[in-house]
Amino acid sequence: MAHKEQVLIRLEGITKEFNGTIAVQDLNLEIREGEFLCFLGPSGCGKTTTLRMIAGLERPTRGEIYLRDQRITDWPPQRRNIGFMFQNYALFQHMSVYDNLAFGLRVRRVPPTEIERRVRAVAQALELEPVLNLRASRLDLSTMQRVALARILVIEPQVLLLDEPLNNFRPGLRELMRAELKRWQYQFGRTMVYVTHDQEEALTLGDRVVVMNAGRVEQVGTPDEVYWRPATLFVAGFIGRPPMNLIPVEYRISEGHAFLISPDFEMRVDERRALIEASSFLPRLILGIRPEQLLIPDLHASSHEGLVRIPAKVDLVRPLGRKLILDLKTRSGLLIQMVTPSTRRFAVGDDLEIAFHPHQALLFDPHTGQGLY
Amino acid sequence: MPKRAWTSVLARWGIVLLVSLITLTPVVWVLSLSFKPPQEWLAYPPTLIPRQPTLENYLVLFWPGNPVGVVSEMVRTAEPVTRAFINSLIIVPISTALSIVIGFLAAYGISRFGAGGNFLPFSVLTTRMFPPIAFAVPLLVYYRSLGLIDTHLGLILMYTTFTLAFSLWMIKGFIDGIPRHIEEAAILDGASRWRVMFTITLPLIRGGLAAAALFVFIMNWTEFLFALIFTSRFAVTLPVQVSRYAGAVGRYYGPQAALGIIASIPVLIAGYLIQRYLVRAFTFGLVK
Amino acid sequence: MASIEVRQLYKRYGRITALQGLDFSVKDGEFFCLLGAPGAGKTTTFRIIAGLEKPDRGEVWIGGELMNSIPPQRRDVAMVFEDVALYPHMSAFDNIAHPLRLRRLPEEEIRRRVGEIAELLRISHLLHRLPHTYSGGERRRVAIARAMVRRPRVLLLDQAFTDLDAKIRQEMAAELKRLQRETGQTMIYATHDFEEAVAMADRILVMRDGRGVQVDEPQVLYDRPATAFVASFLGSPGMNLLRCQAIPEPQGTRFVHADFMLLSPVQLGENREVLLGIRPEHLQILMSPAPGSVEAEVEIIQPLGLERIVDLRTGPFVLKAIASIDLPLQLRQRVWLLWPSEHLFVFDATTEERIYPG
Repeated sequence: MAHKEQVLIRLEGITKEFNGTIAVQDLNLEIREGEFLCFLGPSGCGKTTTLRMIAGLERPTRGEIYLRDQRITDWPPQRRNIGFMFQNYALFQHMSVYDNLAFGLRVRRVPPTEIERRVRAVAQALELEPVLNLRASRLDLSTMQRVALARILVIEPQVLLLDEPLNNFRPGLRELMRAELKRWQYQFGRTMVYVTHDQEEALTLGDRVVVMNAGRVEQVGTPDEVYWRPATLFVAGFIGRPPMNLIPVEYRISEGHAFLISPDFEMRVDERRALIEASSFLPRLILGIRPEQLLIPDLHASSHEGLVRIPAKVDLVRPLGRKLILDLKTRSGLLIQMVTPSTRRFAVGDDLEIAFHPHQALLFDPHTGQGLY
Repeated sequence: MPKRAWTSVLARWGIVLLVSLITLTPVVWVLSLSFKPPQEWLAYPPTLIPRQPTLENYLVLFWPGNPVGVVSEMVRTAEPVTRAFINSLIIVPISTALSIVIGFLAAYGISRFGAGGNFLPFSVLTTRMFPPIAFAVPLLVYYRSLGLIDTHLGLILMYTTFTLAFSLWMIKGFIDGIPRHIEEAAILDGASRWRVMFTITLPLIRGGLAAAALFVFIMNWTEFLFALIFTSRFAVTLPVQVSRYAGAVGRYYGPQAALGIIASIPVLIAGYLIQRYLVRAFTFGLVK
Repeated sequence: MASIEVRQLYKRYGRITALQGLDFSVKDGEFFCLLGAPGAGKTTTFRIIAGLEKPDRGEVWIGGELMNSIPPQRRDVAMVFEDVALYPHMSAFDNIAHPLRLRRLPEEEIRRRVGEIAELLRISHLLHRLPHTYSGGERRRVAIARAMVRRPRVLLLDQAFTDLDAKIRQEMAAELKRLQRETGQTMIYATHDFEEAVAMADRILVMRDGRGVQVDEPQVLYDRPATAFVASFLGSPGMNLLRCQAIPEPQGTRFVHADFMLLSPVQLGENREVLLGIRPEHLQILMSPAPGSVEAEVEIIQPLGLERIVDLRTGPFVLKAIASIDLPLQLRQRVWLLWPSEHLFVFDATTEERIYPG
């Protein structure tokens, strides 16, 4: 972890086309030594293609890939010293676990005594010693995952690429395996690049998260940045469960003050005028507020002054145990979702007043989708 | 890079050309043979384009007594091909249709209700486990006592029986591929089993049925052994008829080739008609 | 519309027992949920209610009528399957119209009703397209439309949304709930995802090994789980359960396992093996030791908006706790956990039934 800031892999202007359809477009990215980087996005956003290009399984149509300043765009996968863990693990079912682990070393013509030593060492670290002589086809899923990881670690790769390795697990086990993965990362301290469509996974595992959509990078940032300062409307709507409320508003100047107006509320935004006026699609804007930032104001609490208030009706109640998700309909028919502690009971049809702190609201340009920060 | 691309294109074309040559040569050869006069049938060096093209080989099939040319002279005794042609056109489509219908019903029962347990589907295969000639003698005895020898019905029954194993197994594969839930949904909608079978299952495996039908049709159309043993005059089929163009001095290659060409036409037509269903059969997997 | 009653259902497939004495009843117009892990018997239950399968023993009553000998076509039950089962060779219109055509309704009436339900489910634009062109959510909508168009007495939905993206799943759940409220359709939904269940259900039956474990409103199941299974199954994350020995002390009970030890004023009476339970949101994380606290190490931090789910290792156990993002936590950091006794649960280690609070 010492050289955490050093760049290990650099992608420069990567574009990949398949028969005329663009899978990845003009992607620029630096992967740092020792970090856990997660690619997150809906299916078909180009995340797996990017991973396969890093591994050398696909060749970019345009752009270059560098490994420690060495151009490796044309290198075949074997030469790159990169470990790739496939979604279905691709273990050799007909071989013993030992042979599975030794395979990569034998192919690389490592001397037998060295193979023995390295296989044993990895097997010990991942607690695979009891199953070394079993056939791979007889293992359970979680052991298979460990074997798949061991098989990669044993060749001592510069970087580990993982393509949705937890997809086949049922929900409970999935969380357990996720925790395991994170533990391994600090145990082995390797650079890991991880592809997933599951945001919880990405936010939990990643030191940084790359959010992709339709072949483009929407945002690269820490889990906190991606969650609280989404760069684009797509990220705002994609991350968070339930996702951020995105409310169309109109910008207006009245009596020297700047306002955002919606049929349900209005809000003064004098201090953000400069940012707003740089937007391309005025007077229209999108206001974003997280469901957990909405609250039900207490009439007498002084901390609730200056709140933006919205009258609404309860449309659906989802008691998740310690929290509730309320679907609310405003007077103008807008749907707003809110997360609130389950200490209070709600019934469908209840009239409520909800509110938020104006400084917590994010603003987006509806035309470019960019956040106005 | 461009240089490599150029050579690879050349190599690809070379391979395509070679393969087409190997597969098409016999067809072209037969086609050419069917227009050759007798002296060219076995001429050496062989000719690809007949030096003296003639239609005689074709004419003689239909009018064997017609006294023009050398070939007519040679095959004067043969029956006109018309009867064999009509026989094949009766026997083969009917037995194919029967085989597919019975095969579908049986396959449905086996696939959906496990009819006959584990044994039935395999027992059906026994008809294909022995060389057909092993069945010939006992069947001959049965057929004689039932008066089925040299009848259309006789061959229809035989062809239906011997292709049943094939159509059953092939159709069963297609039915197995259709999720049960689709049928159950229709049952809950209020449809009866029969109705489900015909309005849901059948349309979904139409392509598969077409493929199976085409294969069975070809098998029956070209069947020779049983047709030879179980027919003599009345119910002779095309493959048997082909074998009749032989005399004391040798085979009459010209008329045989001409008949081969004519006999392939119905298969080509059937294949063409069925083609669009075949495409459906192979793309159906895309629709979950 | 009708009520449903399931009495003492038993079903075996060869050596596998699918149901062993399942009982429950659904009220007319209710949204009922079967919640259980895969293999708990949910699908079998549905197939028996629909009549696609015969129970070995037990009765199914719909609208006060015994159904056991009535064939599926005449039960007036509709079902949406896990794999949706649209007719791939028919357009959405024909798919939805199919049950009406079977009932020989006049074509005009069919067109009107298909149009209505399509409007309600917002699939009018799909009516003339074939199923393979639909998205996952659209396939579900068409399947639900087909099931609802004939206004069946009961609508069964077998994990109908499971393989959808989390976001679309949530939208569909909300929409189905609204639809159910507007139409008053009796619905039973089977799922293994508790979030899906609580989003829709008026009442939930938690199933395990072919039996009902507990049936109640979602919040009640959460607040007063009858067994350790219910406690761990409901909640995200579920309740922490620690298998340990409960040793009575003058001031309360000592819970011990290996090098884990917790002293609590809870009174249990006898020395026994128990499952000690506490919800993640009730574990308090302290940055320095306090009386009654237990030392732990931070293993994983999962950000979740204003909160984080923290995995904490203490002795032989890994516990989950909810921490505010204001609490400065680092991986591998040492912390101390407080266990408020008013939020402790104790379950019997063998029967898994709740013994505290009684």
